Amino acid sequence: MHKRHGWGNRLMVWRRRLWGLWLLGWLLTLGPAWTEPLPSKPDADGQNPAAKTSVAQEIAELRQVQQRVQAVVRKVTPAVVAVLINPGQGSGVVVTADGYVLTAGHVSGKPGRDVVIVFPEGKRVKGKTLGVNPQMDSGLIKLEGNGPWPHVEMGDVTQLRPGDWVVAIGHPGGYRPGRSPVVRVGRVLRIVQQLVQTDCTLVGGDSGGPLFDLEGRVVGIHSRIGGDISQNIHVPVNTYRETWEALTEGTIIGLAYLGVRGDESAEQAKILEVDPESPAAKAGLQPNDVILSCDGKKITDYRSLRSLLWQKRPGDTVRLEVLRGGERIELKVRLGSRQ
Amino acid sequence: MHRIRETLATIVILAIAQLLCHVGLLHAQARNTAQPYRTDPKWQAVWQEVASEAAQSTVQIRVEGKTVALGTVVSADGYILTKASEVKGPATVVLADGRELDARVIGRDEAFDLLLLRVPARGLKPVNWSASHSAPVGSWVIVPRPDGRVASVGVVSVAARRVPARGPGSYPNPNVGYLGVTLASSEDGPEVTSVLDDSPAAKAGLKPGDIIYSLAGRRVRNPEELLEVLRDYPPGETVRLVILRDQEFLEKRVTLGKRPVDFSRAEFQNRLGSELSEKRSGFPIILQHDAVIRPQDCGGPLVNLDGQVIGINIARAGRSESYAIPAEVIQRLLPELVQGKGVSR
Repeated sequence: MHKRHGWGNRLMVWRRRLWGLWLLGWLLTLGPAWTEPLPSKPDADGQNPAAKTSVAQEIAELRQVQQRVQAVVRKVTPAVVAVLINPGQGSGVVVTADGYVLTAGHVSGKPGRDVVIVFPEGKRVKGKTLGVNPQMDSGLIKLEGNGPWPHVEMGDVTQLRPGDWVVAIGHPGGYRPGRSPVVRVGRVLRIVQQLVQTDCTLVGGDSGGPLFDLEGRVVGIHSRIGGDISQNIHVPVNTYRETWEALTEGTIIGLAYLGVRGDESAEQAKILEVDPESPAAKAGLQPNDVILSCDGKKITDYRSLRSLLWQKRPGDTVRLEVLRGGERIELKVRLGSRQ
Repeated sequence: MHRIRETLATIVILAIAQLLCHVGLLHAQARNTAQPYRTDPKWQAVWQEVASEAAQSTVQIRVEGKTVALGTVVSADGYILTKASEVKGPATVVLADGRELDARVIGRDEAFDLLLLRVPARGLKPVNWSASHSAPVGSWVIVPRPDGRVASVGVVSVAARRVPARGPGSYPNPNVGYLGVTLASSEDGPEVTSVLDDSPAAKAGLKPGDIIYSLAGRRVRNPEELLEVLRDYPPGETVRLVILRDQEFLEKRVTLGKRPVDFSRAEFQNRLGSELSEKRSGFPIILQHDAVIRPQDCGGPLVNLDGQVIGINIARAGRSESYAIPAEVIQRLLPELVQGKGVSR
């Protein structure tokens, strides 16, 4: 669904990371059937009584899911919008009464662009794009004019588990007058680096649309798709909350440059490489340094370091607490720019 | 003997190792990943149970021995509905009990792409209809096969709606006039909020903030009305445009262009992971759902969680959309089809 930089590149990165898991998943689906309990004796009409009760229970479970999905649809649809950015189109969701709209970074693009937001009943409202995080594919838009606008609550991706039911809404194929926002249901299949993969089938035009949990809270924003029908990737809503200030100020997030690389899967923010001549090198950071805090905020892993740096701008000075050979040292780094 | 025992021991050890490995990994898998729900074995028995009655009213339609579509039994005395455009020759019908019978074409509705067939059989089980509003948006839907298994499952994505062949709600048509602006509603009329570089609007000198008052002499009060007027003019046509700029009326002449849609990409994405029906647009009324069906799964019933049939599947239209003709529409069309509508005798 990526329009400008193409979803291809990001998909490749994602796929490379996930390839192992993928393969494992597929191998395991071919795994042993004998872990299922053996069927008990059939009764007179050839049916298995135990199986019958379990089917009845599962129908009841599906009925419950259906009721909750219907309730979510009624509650959230007024806040699901189409985003028209000449010549492109996408989707979005209003999350505050004063009109902040979450969308995908590749839909909103650069800060300061004019957009038109279309509400489900056809009302068109002008808006402006604000901040964007190209690395996460998150973007923010502000509606013009006075609210209060219909809006939904933001949820928390860390509360989601694989197997949880979710509801995807958006405008697949672009906005069509007279068609209500299109609802799809699926489950969370896996969450890697907070990116959410579901089997809610998405297509171009859905980009930027919301993924809801069964409480009707937005937990993700539609970002990209893969070749299989179950490869649908959503940006975690948490990243919008973590970078809210920078997004509302209209910042292009990720331009502040430190110049290090670390292990994303390690349980601490350990530096593997330091770019020569980079701000990190000039400040004296070395490979094998472990970063403990940044401006007094605790750093637990490389990802948390990166998302903290997303809140900084080129030229900002940050104070790093570093563990080197058992000793704690403090370094000051003036961040550079990626541009 | 010794050898055999050694081999046996090895096999047992390997089997135990594999077992432990599988159990461990299955646990890991249960924690970290879930299966796509449509193919999760856990639910298959449930979907089958819900749709079991409708499956008995579902048949296979064959042309030259190849299954081209499903069919829906609509009367005990052999009337069967299917997707017309998939049936390109003399058809046979395979009933749920396995009998294969020659079918006669009774009626045809071009717009809805429905074909009414009749087979020489009695005592068939017709479907149990329910108006489509009995399954509001978000309701489960099941697509049964004659063998009792399910082709796919999903939910209602958009309630039954009327889709004019031309007009609001229809697909963006590359053969209608295109300006290259985005529009917002304003009190004075459709307001231009952006003008695409090199577009017809840019060449005519339109600017953001302009209010479009009329196009080709027709007054437009909102963006929808403007789009409506544009549909009557093909690309290449030059029309008169009256705009309101800084409280003053200005007249412009604009040569309409062609909508620059990257069809190859849109089409590529739409086909990712699923095969689409040849005829998949132009139906006057549709219910949209997200069950992942194949083109040859069309023509059969769409079933709600109560086992009732809320429509007949008519197209796999995209990666995220399948269409059904709602039950209430079919019930309205049936008498005419039985009378031989659309078939010359």
